[in-house]
Amino acid sequence: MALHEELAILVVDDDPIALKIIDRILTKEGFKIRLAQNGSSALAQIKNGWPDIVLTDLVLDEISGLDILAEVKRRMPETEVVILTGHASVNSTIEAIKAGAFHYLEKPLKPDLLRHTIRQAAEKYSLAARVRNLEIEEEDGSLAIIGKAPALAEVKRLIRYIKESDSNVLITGETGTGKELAARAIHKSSTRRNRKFLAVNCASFTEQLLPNELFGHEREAYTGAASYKAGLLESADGGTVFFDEVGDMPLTMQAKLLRVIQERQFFRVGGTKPISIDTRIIAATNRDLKKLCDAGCFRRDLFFRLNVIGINMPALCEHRDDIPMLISHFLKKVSARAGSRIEKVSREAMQLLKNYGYPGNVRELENIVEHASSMARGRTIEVEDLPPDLTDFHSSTFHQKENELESLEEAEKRYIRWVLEKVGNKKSHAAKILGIDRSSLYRKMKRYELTE
Amino acid sequence: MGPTNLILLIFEQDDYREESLRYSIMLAGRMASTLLVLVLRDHQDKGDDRINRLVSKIPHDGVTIRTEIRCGDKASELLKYVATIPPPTTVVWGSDESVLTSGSEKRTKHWFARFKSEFQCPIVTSKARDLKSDV
Repeated sequence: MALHEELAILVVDDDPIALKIIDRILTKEGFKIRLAQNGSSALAQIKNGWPDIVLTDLVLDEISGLDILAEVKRRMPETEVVILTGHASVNSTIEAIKAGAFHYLEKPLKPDLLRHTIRQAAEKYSLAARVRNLEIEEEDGSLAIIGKAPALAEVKRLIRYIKESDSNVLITGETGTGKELAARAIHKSSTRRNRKFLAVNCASFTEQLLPNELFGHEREAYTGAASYKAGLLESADGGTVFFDEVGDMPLTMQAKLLRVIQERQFFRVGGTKPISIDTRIIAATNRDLKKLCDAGCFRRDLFFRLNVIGINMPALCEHRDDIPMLISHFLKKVSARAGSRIEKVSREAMQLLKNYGYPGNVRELENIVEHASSMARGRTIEVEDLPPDLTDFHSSTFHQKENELESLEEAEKRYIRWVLEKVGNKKSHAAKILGIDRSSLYRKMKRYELTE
Repeated sequence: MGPTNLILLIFEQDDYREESLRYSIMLAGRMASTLLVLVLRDHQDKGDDRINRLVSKIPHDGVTIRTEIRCGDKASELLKYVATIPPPTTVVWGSDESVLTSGSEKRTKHWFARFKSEFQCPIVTSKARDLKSDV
């Protein structure tokens, strides 16, 4: 894809012949061109926020090129402006550059110089746009979650909604739906984004090793402990700890974690001095914790403490429309990592990929795309590049709904109740935290029947 | 991926569908999972080794496969077995898929169709597309 493909240029000149010539030269370069023969027409287009680059004659009618430059810099400071003039003067050149013009070209225009200057302006504009996008991504972690379907849009909305909050979050969903990705997005969107995010898989540690991993130990706490070691909670102080597969945490550890959440302190293994921490907890599970609570395998009080905000990651089959977007994303990843040049997927292959059931969800899709990329000979993934089970077998997948999907309303109700409890029912304070005014808060309290 | 990723493939009686096993192996490979193959029978059978022969016939590089044969009431044996393993991330029903997909009585009367809600993970059935069953 050319660097400047799809960039829009507004050309302003009261000389119709000059407009035609410039239009022809720059259209051949691949730019989208609009023309304006006077200042008013140019300003009207600028008000619509249209151009990425403006090429304007200095001398027009009652509105000059410098007026246009000033208006562009006021409305769309990222738009680059190139000034044209048949009357080169040092003063006007300096004035234009000082006012933010990218460059200054003399008439009669030399086509090569015109092309070169516009290409440079395009490059500068595109680079600045990429930096702007990165800055937005830095602050909005939800952008890491790929997908536009309603099921995911709800998740992203909730992540953005809670970004100022410090409450614990419980993320549920099948294996491979992106629970850790969501946890990282929450952390990245939060005020803790510049502190650590540490993850622990509760199923990977035995009942004996998990306390050591979380709380660390004192020197000589046990044989072989030659020095003190900080655990995850201490290392992530000020940041976030992510408990993956929290449903597999042993009951004894659950009790200890509950105490940490309640008291915000803990003891290292073998220690006698309490360690205070300020760590946010995000937990994830693919199990039905309510069922585990009923069966006595998970502490109900811990469940409520973790589930202040609940986010359910939908199975991939619930947002199939995102499959092409996800495939494109994974192809770019593979290309960046392995240098492959796969550009697209054939229609037949895409149909198979869209129809498959994905019991392993997004993670399985990623693996399938990687496999297909390694098999493809050309730049297109064909049917024969897909794993044989997709082509040779017809599989049907039945996804369980582990919990009733909670609506945004229910999540909002629970969150508002929690905030009110936290601030001792002070409405002004609660409204500020929630980012709404007091009357909106009162309306929501009435709607959700959240009494004093 | 942790070591607890399991795919559970369930066969009933002698109804071993080779495509189910092949699919399960490929899925386990993709998901870096161990494949547990469970055969549920009413009674012991001298042909009990068939499943191991079927497994060894199919290439499964990089995939750990464990087989288990249980005899008795199938629903009870399945419950007892599942209690001994970490929760699977996917269950593959390897025998007659119509017990799950058909609109007939089979779906409501078959023991597995009534049991499947006990699992908290996706359940998959797989059959050969057209007549191309040899991979």
